[in-house]
Amino acid sequence: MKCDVCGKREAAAVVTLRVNNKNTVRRVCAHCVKKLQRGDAYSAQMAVLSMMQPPAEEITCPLCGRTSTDLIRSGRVGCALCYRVFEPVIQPLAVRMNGAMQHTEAKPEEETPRNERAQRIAALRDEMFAAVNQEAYERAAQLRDEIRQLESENSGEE
Amino acid sequence: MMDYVLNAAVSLLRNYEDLPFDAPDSEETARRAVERAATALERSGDSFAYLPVADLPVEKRLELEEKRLLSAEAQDAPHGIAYLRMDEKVCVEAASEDHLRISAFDAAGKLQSCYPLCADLEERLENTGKLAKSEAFGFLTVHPCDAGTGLRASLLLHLPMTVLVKQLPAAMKVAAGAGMTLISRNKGLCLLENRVTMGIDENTLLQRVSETGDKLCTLERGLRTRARERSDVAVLDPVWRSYGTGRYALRIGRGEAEQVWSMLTLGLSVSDVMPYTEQMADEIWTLAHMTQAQLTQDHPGHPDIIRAQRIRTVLSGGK
Repeated sequence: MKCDVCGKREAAAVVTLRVNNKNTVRRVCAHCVKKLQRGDAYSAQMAVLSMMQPPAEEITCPLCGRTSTDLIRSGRVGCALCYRVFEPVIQPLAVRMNGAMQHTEAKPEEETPRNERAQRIAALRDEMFAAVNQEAYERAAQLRDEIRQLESENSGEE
Repeated sequence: MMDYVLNAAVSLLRNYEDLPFDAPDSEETARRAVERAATALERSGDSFAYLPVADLPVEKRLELEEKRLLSAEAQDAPHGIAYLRMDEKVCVEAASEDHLRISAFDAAGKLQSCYPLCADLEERLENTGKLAKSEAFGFLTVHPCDAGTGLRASLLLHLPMTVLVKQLPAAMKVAAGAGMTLISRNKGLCLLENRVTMGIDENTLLQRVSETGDKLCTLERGLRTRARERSDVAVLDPVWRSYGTGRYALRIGRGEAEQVWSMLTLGLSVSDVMPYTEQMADEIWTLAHMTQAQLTQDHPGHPDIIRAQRIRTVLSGGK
């Protein structure tokens, strides 16, 4: 009998996944047993999926051919489109795993005087190196002093 | 002396939008993912070692796995390639379970210094192909449990006292309450890792892992202080037993050497009268993590026997 999780290797053990006092039995290969016993996010995902019922009507991804049953069994999607196709399965899983419905984008870096100064320092450095390459040493020295001034303002704020 | 937070690692899981998520099974997908990664890294200016994962010696693979620079799944990817930066602090795993796994490791235990290294490489890798991302699920990964930020941040914590006084379940609850998992790896060594990857941005996530790590370290510190005040025999006994192992054992494997280090380090924080120094304990950590080749370089023989011999020498003050 093939492994319930990877579907590739022969099953070698029976594993009981327990969620909310409900048990689900899976026949798995030696390799997948190790993965399920890691106690990390993957194990948690497999436990949650084991309790999920496949949708009443089997869904198939038109791009990679993966089915909703495959997803619930293996915990893997086959392509980027699967996320849209299997949303009825993935959305509740994401909520269960993360307690969140949706991804949160990182806020863009705040425009503080410190950040502005850092950007200005970087620009001045480029200009200074360009001046050195052109042998405009007087201009390079001016830029160096300006950089030092900005750097001392930054370290003063720390 | 290193104690409490031993090291930190951050990984970003990314996939190319136009490639199927079947790199371990398809040679074609793996080849394309590897080519793109190679092109991006060539342009990065840093030098990376090209390591075909299937040909990697077991010891090296385990070492990289321990540093979380390589995933445990890498060994199942026959066409997977690890690009390891020469300083062994950054690694890009291509064509493993996900197309790309960008990892950074910090021996000083600072998560915040790992993330910029990963983000910088991600930007370079993105230039060779659009990464799969959706508004609702964020970065799309092979396992939906990684979708969102696709970020795994982990701290290797040294919590021997928590384990010794059976407070690990309580510590696990603290971690679970913050959306994290605490996995006991070896007696006293625990890996704290975020379980939640969605609904929270990268910086908040890193901050939360660091804060939870701090919380667990505070718990450990409190338990050690209490043991010190009471001169608790239940704590000192395993410490002295480990000292005995280090001092007299004839064979010490890597895991056991880690345990000896763990207990000896604990001993130094719960008692003033220990027959060894911080420096000796640190040397045992180094010996625990030496590879077979390093151990047998000057002294041919079984690495565990040589390790035990060198630990005995360290603990007897070089005699």
